[in-house]
Amino acid sequence: MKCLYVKELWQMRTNGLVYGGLAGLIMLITGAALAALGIADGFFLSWPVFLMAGVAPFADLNDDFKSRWSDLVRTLPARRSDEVGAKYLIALTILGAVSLVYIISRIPVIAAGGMDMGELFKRLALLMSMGSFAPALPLPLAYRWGDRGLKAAYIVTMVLMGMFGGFYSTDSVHDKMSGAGAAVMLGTFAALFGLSWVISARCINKYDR
Amino acid sequence: MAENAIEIRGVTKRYKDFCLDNVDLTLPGGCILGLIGENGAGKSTLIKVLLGIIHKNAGSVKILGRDADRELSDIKEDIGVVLDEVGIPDGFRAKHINNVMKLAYRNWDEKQFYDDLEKFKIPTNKKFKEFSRGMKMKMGIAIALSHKAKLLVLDEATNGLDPVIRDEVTDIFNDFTREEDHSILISSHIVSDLEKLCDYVSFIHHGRVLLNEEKDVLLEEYAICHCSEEQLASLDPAAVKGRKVGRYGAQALVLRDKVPADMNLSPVNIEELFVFMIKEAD
Amino acid sequence: MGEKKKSPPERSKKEMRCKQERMNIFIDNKSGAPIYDQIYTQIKSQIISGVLNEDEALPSIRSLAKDLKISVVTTKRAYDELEREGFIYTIAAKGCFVAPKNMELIKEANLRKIEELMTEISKLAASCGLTKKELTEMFEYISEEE
Repeated sequence: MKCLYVKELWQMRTNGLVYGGLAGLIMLITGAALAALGIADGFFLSWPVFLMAGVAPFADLNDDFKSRWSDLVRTLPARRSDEVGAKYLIALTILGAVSLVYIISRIPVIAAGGMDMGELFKRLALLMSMGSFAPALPLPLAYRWGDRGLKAAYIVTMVLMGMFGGFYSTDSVHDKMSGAGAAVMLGTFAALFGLSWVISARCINKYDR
Repeated sequence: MAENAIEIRGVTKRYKDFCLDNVDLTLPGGCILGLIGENGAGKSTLIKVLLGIIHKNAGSVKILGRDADRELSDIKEDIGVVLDEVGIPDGFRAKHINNVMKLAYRNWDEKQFYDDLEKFKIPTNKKFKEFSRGMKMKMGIAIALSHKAKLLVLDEATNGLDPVIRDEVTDIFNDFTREEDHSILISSHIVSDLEKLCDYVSFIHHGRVLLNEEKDVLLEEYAICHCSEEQLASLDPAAVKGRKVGRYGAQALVLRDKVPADMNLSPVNIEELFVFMIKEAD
Repeated sequence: MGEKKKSPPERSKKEMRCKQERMNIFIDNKSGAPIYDQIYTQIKSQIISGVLNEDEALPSIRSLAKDLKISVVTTKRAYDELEREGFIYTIAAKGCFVAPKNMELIKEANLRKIEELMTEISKLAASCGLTKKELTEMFEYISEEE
């Protein structure tokens, strides 16, 4: 499994996701600056970053199909379910990295009094939920139906996430959510992520691409 | 030449509009088997089933004496594979490949890998997508040769290579089998590539294996007979395995020992044999 | 078995060296003669003519095949044939060696060659109207010259 995870890591780097990461970084910092200066709520800049981060493993899978790594990997001494594990782990890795950057970027905002810890947690919960759902939804479809499922799943995901993020950005939802509510939401999406992993592992063992 | 390197028995794989039908294939240990078929005949499908890239509907596969259904992951340590699309991610350079393979294979030999890259003149600082087809193939071969594999499986590995590189690559395969327990399965639709190299040949057509035989035996048993149409008609039907009638006479693929001794026979090569048989099978 | 020295400029594709002795084997793809037969014939004549010495090691079946870029099945067949006719012998795990010159075998091979040549001579003689007497005179004249 390790070799497959390492492959994902290298792919992140060589695929120019570093640039994507930098762009995301800039957006998060800008959002933080805006909030700290009291100009605007930076959330509208944050959620696209998490969305793109969440979709990254999926884009990777698409590359795998194109380069035929998806065939070569099955000639390596690794189990099929390890392929899936590596993808989900890299999804978590990316999500974790982005979350960390988000937290760090919001520290000046908290210090300036523009946000409290509870608020931070609520937003982070939402962002991580979104960021985990973005891969959780399409990956099983891709492992079940291969190339055909991939494009459709991609579009569906983008649309759903777009609606999701846009919806939450409106103030009313923002305020209505309590800390406990956010925790429940995060828990639910974590469970969905786990479920997605299990389904993907089943699919890859049963179905060819 | 102890055990068989590959034993495929009764393998069937059904798709909507294509089917691998009850395929039997044997690669004796220490030998090179050429799997010959036109595009779409089922070579790649068979190889993918062999390696577990796709599931089969029926049949059994044994590799290096072990049951592929149960021990495939372990067996793969000993198999070096080059698929026709090679399969390395676009942005990877040599060192990325090395790092991944190092963790993938128990017996990965980093030194040999880099030595091979140098020998094949593959640039180590270019991304894989920038390679020419020949270089991609050679990279695939370098990977396949760097983990002490006992069996090489090559799917259309010489296609699209210019003659000089093809020659180099054929030499490499030849050298690989200097060891007694090293075997190669190589598939291609370019027969001339395989002709010299192989010990055994297998013809596959529309998902069925037409023959699986020692190359030398084939070259001895069969010959091309040049004669007139009338003479062709007079031959024993069991002797004629293929025919071509032209303006100035006829050519027939015949079994040497079933035609009269005075017929004008010339030696046949594997490519001609293949073309005649395919035409006859249709 | 000695190492084979590879020096690309000298070495034609189908040539092969064995220790210090040069053992030349040429495969003609177009001649139509089975390859194993070509190998068998060439090795046999080199043994008879003395290019290959008694008890000299021959290349292994496998390395010969690989150097000539042909099938191991082919070289094995050639060697099997040579062994069957007594020109070589095998020591398990060591390889194949040239058998001591069997004078009978050599004489027989040479006799066969003489027969072939004589048949050709008589055909030629007939085609230009040479009588047996004239032919015999020619032969005696040539023999005296040697």
